[in-house]
Amino acid sequence: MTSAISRERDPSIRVEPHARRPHRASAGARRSRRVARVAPWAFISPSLVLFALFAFAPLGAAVVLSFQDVQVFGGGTWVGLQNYETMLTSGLFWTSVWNTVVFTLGTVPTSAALGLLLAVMLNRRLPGRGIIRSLYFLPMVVSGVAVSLVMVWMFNSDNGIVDAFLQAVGLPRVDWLSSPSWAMVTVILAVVWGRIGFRMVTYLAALQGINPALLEAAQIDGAGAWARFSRITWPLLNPTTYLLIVLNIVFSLQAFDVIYVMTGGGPGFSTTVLIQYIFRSAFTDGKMGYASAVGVFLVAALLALTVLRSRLSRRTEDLT
Amino acid sequence: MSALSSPDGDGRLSRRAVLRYAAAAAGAMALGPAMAACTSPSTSSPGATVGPDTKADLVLTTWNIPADLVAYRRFAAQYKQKHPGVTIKVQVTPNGDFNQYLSTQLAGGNAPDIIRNTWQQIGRWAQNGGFIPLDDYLAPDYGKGFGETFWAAAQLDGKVHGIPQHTDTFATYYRTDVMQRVGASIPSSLDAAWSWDDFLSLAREVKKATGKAAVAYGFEGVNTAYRWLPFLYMHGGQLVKDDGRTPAIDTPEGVEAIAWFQQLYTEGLIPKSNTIKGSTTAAVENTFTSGQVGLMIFGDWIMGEVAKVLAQDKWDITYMPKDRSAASDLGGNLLSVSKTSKNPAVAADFIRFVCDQANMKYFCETDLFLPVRTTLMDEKLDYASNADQMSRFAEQAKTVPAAMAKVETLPNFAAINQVLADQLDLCFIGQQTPKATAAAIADGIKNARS
Repeated sequence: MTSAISRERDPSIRVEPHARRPHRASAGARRSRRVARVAPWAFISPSLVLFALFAFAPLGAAVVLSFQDVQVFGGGTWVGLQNYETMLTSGLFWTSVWNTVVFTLGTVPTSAALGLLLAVMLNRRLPGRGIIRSLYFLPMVVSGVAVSLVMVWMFNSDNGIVDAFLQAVGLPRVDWLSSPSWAMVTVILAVVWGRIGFRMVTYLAALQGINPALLEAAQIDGAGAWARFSRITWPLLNPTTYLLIVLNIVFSLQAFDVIYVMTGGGPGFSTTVLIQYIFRSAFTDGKMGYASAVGVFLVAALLALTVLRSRLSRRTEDLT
Repeated sequence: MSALSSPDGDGRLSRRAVLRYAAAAAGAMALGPAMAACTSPSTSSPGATVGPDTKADLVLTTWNIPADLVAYRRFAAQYKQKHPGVTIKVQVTPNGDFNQYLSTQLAGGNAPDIIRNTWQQIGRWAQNGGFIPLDDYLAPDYGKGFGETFWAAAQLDGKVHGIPQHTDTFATYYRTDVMQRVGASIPSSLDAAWSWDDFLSLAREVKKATGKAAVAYGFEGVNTAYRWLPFLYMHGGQLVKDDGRTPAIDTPEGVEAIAWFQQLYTEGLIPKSNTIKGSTTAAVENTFTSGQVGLMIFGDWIMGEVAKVLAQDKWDITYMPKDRSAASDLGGNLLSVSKTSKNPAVAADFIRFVCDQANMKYFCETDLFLPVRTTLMDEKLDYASNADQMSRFAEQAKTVPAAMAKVETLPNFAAINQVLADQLDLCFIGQQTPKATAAAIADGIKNARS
């Protein structure tokens, strides 16, 4: 199949004119085109089936549920747009939207920037480089719940090691998890720490894919370190940055385990993000239909953000 | 759940105990046959279809207390000896995740057959049809063996949805070294329990002595916000009126009770980390065992953990502080049969086996719980450890307000509990006033559903 397609498209291959050949070639080409059309579907169909079963079908069911008043389990009555009306007029919904935005802004650029910084640092020859890379990557392979429990102990306002350190160096203690104004900061710190490793590894791979000749040429032309980074390295990292930002936003909008374990959404509502709000609406308040409506809102927001970022990225590429 | 009848009208378990004792005495002559009924359920109850040849594989789910798992597995093995064809697997469901586990399992039609659940949880599942009524599997007078409040709380619309297995409650743990340092006199009876004023003064002294905080409270995350309620009821307040729907907390008593507890936080008497939503069992215990506080208001079930870390002469138990009356937390569990069980008769029979007199006694004595069968409630149990402390918990358990128990078993209590967690957290840790908090809780209750 591949050879047929390449022969057809390769201008260097010359096809001799012959009375019956056009017919045979055209039949072959048609077969090739048919195969070319079917083959991708054959390759993606296993994934597609799994996706349809475990992602698209539940998503569709959630959309249907969002128009119903559903009991804790089973049974529901059609209520039209009522769940969406309730959602848009709920103070707690908007609080959780705001908290989600703050959480996302706090985690996405920070973890990407720190990941890049580490990647640039560890892209050089350093003693024990492999061990340092592994140490930074370690949080990524540890359970989020386990990390969160450790964080709870570290940031404990009464006997946590972080406050003990601050006190030892003459700084005031901070109510990391028990103050509504600090709790979100603490959760963001915990999440950023957990994510840095993956960002670092991804950027490291991208950095190693940059042709050193480009940087050497720029250096010969007199470009300083900052100029080489900002004019060559950074633009070449654009696809990676785009990928990480999209992934990070998705992860941030879906953040649950760390917040669930560290603060339970409190103190008050200070760390109640959208997923937390969906969870409590469904399983504590017993409003499955309403929780589905908030879930549909979240999916729509995610889709909109992804499309927006994709268009912005395309426009940027066109300009460059 | 159904109304908890209160013959003497003041809603106290201790008063109703008079009737319980009378019933127990009147039934003394029938005790022998009753005991026989407990130990050989398969032959004496209507609806029971379990015999020596019965074959069934069941799953019992419980939360993760290691000693309880051992006990349930022991019961399963003993039951298998009687019914070789019946295998009961004991499985753990994390208590904090109980609601979502059970919702999804019931919705998926694969919930465990036998479900250990709390008083605060049973209402929702009974109301939504998650637990089946057990009446067909029980003798008509089966409930007479149980404490009146507990048996009433196990029912919804007159149908039994769970069989009470044990109860537990809160009392005050204190460190002997700290109490000696501040010269505190320890109450030796319920009547002599510290008043709110006494307790507040003592807590201030304790804070000076420890240099950190004074009293840890047994919050263990969002699901346990209801544990604040004894303070509302001991001050003469109510969360919901007797109709089970109308909020009753937005009253002077309600606001004062919130304000009193808020003071414990604002004065730094309760550790900062001991918030309703952020607390964990281990962290709360740690503040006590490490000496950061000298007092801890918590349940009997953590005594074993405390005893592992602190020598017995370093700590002891006294009663809850009291105000206009005494009150304490309603703890404990029931065993229910899920609607998806394929062998409900066998499941119900096993539950009766676990909750019979001998096994309830064993469970309570081994795992440090309080019994819910009337004959055991008045008996001095031979606890595996801390018998003296358990006797104080047993006394304290009689102060659980019946009105509070009724509220906590309402079908919409899970949602009400969430409202309590949100609003009390905003008040205790944030800036919300007690008045605004009471009003917000009342609003939330109006919208709470099962």
